[in-house]
Amino acid sequence: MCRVAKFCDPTETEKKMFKNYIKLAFKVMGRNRFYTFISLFGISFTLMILMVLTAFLDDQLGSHAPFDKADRISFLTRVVQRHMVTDTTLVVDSTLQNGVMVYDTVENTNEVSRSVSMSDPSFKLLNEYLDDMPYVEKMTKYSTRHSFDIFLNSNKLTFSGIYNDATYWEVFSFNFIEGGPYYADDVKNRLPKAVISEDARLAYFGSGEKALGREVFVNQTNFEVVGVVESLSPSKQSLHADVYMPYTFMRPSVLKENSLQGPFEGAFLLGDASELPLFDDELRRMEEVIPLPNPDEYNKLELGSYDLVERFAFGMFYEEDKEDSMRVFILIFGGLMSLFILLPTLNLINVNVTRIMERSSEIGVRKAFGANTQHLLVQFLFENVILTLIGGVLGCLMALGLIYLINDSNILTDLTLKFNPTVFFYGFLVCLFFGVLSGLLPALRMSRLHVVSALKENAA
Amino acid sequence: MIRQIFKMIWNRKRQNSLIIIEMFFAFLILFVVLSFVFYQLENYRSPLGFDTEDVWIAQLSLPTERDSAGIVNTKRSLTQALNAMPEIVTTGFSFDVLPFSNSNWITTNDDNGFELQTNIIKADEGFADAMGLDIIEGEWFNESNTNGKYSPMVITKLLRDTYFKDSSVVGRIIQLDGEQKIVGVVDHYKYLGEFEEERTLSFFYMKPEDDDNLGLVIRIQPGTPPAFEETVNRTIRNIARGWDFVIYHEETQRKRKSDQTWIPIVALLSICGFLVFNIALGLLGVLMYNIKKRRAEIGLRRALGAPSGNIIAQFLLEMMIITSIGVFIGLIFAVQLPIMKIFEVGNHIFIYGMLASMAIIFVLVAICTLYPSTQASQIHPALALHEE
Repeated sequence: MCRVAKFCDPTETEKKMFKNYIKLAFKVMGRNRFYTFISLFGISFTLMILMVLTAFLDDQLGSHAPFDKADRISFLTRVVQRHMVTDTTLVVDSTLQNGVMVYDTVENTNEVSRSVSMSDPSFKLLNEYLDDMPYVEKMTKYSTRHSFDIFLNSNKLTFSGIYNDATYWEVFSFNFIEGGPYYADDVKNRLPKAVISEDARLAYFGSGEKALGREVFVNQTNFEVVGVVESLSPSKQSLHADVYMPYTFMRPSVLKENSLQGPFEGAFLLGDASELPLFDDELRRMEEVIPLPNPDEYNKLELGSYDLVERFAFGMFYEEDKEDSMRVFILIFGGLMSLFILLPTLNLINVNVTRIMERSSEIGVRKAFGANTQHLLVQFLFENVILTLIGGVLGCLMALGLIYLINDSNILTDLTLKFNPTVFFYGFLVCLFFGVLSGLLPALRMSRLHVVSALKENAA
Repeated sequence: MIRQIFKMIWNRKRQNSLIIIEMFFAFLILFVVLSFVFYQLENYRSPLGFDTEDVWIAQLSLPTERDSAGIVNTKRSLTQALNAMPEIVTTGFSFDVLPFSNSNWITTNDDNGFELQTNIIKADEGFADAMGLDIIEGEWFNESNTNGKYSPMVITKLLRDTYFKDSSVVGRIIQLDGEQKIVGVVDHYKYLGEFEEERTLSFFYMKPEDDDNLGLVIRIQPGTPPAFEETVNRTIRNIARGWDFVIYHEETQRKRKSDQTWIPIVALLSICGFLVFNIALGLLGVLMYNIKKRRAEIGLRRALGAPSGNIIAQFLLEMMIITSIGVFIGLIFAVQLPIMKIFEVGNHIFIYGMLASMAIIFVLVAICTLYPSTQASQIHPALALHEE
């Protein structure tokens, strides 16, 4: 059959074939500009939205600085105390035995929670009971966010502040622009050293000024600035602050407080991510061991620990427990995402089915000359993938533009979306999926078209 | 005519089923998003019930060691010193469940013979004026009612209308954390934020010796320069020694809280807008092609004397029926939300959501059909038949 040597090499033939496919794809696109516009518009906008959404989720939940060890961190942010009482209910069961009623009484006892108190953990709980947990490599305790009014040349600045210990700087990886953190000895000896954020430096010292070695006056104390870190978005719970100070500068009464609940949080850096469930089990054990300060008021303790994603979900959907919150989170985000992909895909399938009909003559001729179904299928899919890839590139550019706009307008307060390889990778994946899916049905239908009817339709 | 149209739809069932599926999903998405937006907007429409302009609140945290005599004195000195300033209109205290914060205190009991649920705010005599509350019945706390046998309470109109529909409430004594006498009714107090649903709420009287953390409400004269805040800050610091405090501007707080809802609303609506536009374009493309392919049919009908309006009506009706099928399937799913009571939202919100989504879809389909069918109806019969 094959007489020309050049075409006998299968790879050579394939190369030529794909070259032809690409040529053809562009020809087809140019032939009907309106349909091409519809397809490209749909693809690029969908991808843009998906990419911005992924960028947002990646910014919130991805493992990068300062959360680059996030997969090994367990946050202890919730302490629940309950007053449990035993509730006895009498169940009377009546049965008819040999014509005589027989009564059977059963006492059901179950524990009922009477009153509940939920709050953050206290310094004492973290410092005395959870200081030396197994599996934990490093543990840090830090205060929840405080606010301070600072008056500077009759301007008011409101700074948010976190009091922390020195391990805080090891568990979380901050980007230092100037200087560095303070150390355990500084904290212990109550040296007035502070780390401030880039935004705080700008607000306090003015633009272009360095802050290292200078003093900030916060909460009636002069702190020496030892480091300046990149500003974080306020949505970064436990981390976003304008000024970070050693916890020893908190009011002594807060540190001495006997309650298990107080204005603190703990983060536990484990040796390995696989140990998270084991650590959770340890916490369950501790719930039984830790003595409650006032057993008459509350007699049951629950320690709520979360990883980064669970915390995000829990902050967003405040359900009973973290599993419920996770479920709602996945349901809503997953559902929304898939609907937003599904609808444009359907639209594209619809357009493609129509568009491909226009080419029945071409298909008829090719079939008549011996092209098999598989060849045609590959060709149509190929065209569609090329189209989606072009749409993908456009979508990427638009996503970059939108991300720039969002960051620039500061609409999400200090949240800096980044267009990183992960986002690009997922975008590309979605793109391919999109292309294959929207091309498959029409291509399948078309490639099965009967030669005669295809040619006849052309005549019509 | 309808029967014929159904026949024609059936003949092209493959193509039409794709459109039906598309309409079904479009309806569902629009329904969910619009219901969410309507729910938020309905809450937004009801008034806050207090002023945010020119109102500052200093949140004061008392030291852990508290003595009631010291607290009474400090509070009195604060009130005197601040009210003496010409820039300050008036001041008042509440406990530290402040507007636009996320904290609340809710009590439920059935001691009155029915289940009564209410949010509770403790406040003193000056609070109503400082916040600008609107008292529609009875009076706010004052010397004559705070020293009586029962501790006084003020309720919101919503609480009155929810639990005491057909009896006058002022003067009534109810069981709520002990015996309380209702002395007044305020119009609204939607302190959680503009987009929050208003909840039933009661104000309890906060005695001077109460040792809760405090919210000191300061109403300033309009047009006071911002630098005045430093004076306020210094005054509070000097009087309330050892107390931590931050001053919030209620107008800023209100905006910040509202933005948390505005941003998702705008994002959702713009995504929906894009989806709708996308569908419209796709539909236009498909219909343009389909109608073009039916030139022969149109030519024949025209030759037999059908006016062009008839042709347009035929295509319009065809598309409307197809769309209705998709929307109807969508409705079956959408109706489950109010029936199963998954969300505690009034049924009317869902009905508005359904109606609005249907309206959008039908108008959209109509526009997308009208353009190609009008073009088709202009075909000269001779030309169309000749092509054939």
